[in-house]
Amino acid sequence: MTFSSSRLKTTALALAASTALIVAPAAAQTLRIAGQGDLGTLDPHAQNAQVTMSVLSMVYETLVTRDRDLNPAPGLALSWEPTSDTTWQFELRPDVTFHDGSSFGAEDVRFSIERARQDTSQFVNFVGTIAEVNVIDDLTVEIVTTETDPLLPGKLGYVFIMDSDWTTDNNATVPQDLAAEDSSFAVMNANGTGPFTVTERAPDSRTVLERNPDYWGEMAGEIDEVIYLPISSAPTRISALLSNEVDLVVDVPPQDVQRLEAAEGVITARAPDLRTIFFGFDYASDVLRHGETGGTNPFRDLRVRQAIDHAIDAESISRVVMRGLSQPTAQLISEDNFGWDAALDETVVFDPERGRELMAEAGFADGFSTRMDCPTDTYTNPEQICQAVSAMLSQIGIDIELNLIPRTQFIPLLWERESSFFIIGFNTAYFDGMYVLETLLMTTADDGEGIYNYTGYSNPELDALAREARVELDVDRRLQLMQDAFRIAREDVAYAPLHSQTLVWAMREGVSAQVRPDNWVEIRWVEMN
Amino acid sequence: MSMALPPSDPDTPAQITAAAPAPRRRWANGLLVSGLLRDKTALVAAVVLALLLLAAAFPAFFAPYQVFDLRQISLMNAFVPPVWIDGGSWTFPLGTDDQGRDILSAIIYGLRVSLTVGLGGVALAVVIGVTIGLIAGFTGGIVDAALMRVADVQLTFPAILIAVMIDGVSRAILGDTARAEAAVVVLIIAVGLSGWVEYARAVRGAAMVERRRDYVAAARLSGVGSAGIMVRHILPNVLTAVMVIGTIHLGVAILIEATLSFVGLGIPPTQPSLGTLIRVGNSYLLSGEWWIAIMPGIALLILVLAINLLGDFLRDALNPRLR
Repeated sequence: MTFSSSRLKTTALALAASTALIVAPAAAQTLRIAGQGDLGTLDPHAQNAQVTMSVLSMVYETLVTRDRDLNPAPGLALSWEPTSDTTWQFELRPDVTFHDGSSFGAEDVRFSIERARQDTSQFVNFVGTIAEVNVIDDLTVEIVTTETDPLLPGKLGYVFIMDSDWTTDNNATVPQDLAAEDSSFAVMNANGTGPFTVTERAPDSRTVLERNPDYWGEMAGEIDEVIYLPISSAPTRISALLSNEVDLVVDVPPQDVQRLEAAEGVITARAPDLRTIFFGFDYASDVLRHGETGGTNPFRDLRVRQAIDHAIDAESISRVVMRGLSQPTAQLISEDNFGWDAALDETVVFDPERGRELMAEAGFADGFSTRMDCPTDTYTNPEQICQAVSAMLSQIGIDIELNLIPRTQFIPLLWERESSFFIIGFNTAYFDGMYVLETLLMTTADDGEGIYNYTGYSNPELDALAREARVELDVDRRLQLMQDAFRIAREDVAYAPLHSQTLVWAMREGVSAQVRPDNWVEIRWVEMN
Repeated sequence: MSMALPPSDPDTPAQITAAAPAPRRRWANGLLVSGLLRDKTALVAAVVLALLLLAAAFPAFFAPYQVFDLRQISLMNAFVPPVWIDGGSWTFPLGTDDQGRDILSAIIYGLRVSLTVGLGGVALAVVIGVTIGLIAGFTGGIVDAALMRVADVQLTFPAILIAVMIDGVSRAILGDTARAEAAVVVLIIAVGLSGWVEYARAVRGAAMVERRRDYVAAARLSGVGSAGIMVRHILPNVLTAVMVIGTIHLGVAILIEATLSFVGLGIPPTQPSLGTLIRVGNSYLLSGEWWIAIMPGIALLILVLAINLLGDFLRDALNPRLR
């Protein structure tokens, strides 16, 4: 552990105070957080990954944030309202300064949104409907969208605001292109408005943040320093908590939860994850790319997909692999999302016998073989899930060759539409199922529709409903349209849903942190003693 | 000396060379068997190793379940403890893993992979090491100096580092999917390339001694080429040393494989070796299902211990100079 200079200063000050005034010194507090992976960059628009967003949210802020009930709440914007069908007006928070002392204003908002719209940004999805950003005065911004976008405030909860002068002066106006491994000043340095500043950044090793004394907002605790440590091995991560080397572990594997709950001096907290896990099929190929299928694509037959649905025993996977920390589901979104439908949550009966019948009806009484692509280092226990599902599918005659690969090789397989059968976990960004409808289920088109539709699934009826829903301002009507669209996907067995995960964090006694369903550590809510 | 021998006589070299090594080998074999019967530790080790080799050679006969037949695996059977613990049963004597696989069966199939890599790696190391050792020892001079400097450089790298390097190169060349399929071959190469120096040094030393012997001079005079002398006349005389080093190296080779697989650089979990089984089980060490990692660990321990005890015995019995 290192003592930063300010920590020493604080301690010295506290000592001086205690000798002079004889009051109890408030010890400097350091929160050490351990997670599975490291943030890939400090550039706030370069990597849309959970861990990156979580840590950067302590340094950079957004116009809109979330309150403890996860409703949209004022962040750098005090208020916002639609002024016409395609314009939103945002009133900005006054007297906010960046870490380098320069003041925050409308120009920074315009600059940041423009920056997030560039090709190398991974946040194009969130600003895709924006046509232009107009600075009305220093604390008022008007955002014009290409079509009605009721979700805009939610989307802007993911667009971090940078200082336009600082970024321009340091030649970092273009977001880092992670795929091309390029770099810029903003990759190793940060200048946000958030409660913490970056004091040390050692990629894949540690990131040290120090309290910003001029922060405008309220903090629940008195944390002076945050250290984020990526520890990829789960047993090591848990051991680090038990031996008091870290204070908070955010990626706790289900098999260790029981032990941690019994351990002295450790408390756990949980929340339903926004992420849902399901299986995808290749619809696009005439002949399945991988496996022996007799020159056909069995996945195009609805009965084969239904058979797979019947053959997957989600209850057993939940009980054994997830130790009860998952909820079997028939939907592609979890309960906290807008668009979730209680009526659709009825999972099909686990019935391999029925599965075999359906396979026989589809002309695959003797089964077929294919390859399942499965990432090993993301989601919760994917390797075990894929192995278990392979065994279950063997019962209906589908012979799976398991392709266990790291996430970095898995994602390109999806992008190239190269996978025949895969597991995927999908996280709705702004607590709204529209993200899933638009990116995962709609027919792939040039304008961003279906950009994550790796299967080639296409149903014009669903497309029409989704297009109608996304410009619908009436909340009830929008919900209805979205649920209708999800029902179509369900009836088509567009994907074979498995479960939604439960997030578990473990922390040292004395630390109190609220688990957010998107796995972000909301540092303003963390308390320590 | 033997200058007087008529080079035209075709039988003479053969007689002379046969006369040199043969009695020594016969003497060694007799001593080996009676020595083994007297040394109880070595005897037990030999019996255990024979059993393990047999199980690895015919896993279908020894293993109660076909661990690679997915139809025989059910999640319902996951995390059953070993038979002597509450909840365990003779259905799964050593318990089951996170997928409901029988651990005893997984160990037997894992043993097969571990031994294949171990034996293959040692064989490769022997071939490389003996060849280089013979050439260096027999030729001498600048060739010897060059080859032995290469060996010296190689010795400065830990074996595991070389193995990791070869693994990385294979990944770059093959890509990960092909690399996973060729995992056994890649590991054999890794173990072989990291372990040949010992053989080369021992063989070189022996070859340097042997090449000054009369029978070699005789063979040379009778027109046998350098390669022929090395293979037919010198090689048989250095084989005992190679055998002793090989046995000890086998234990090391299996451990290198296990280490690489444990850190995820070896055999993929679809065809698990003992090291892979320990890696998979490691995730459950803290949660109470210790047997998933410990059982393959004990199997590895028994295997390597048996090999090492037998290796020690062979060294004492065959070539006390190597002590």
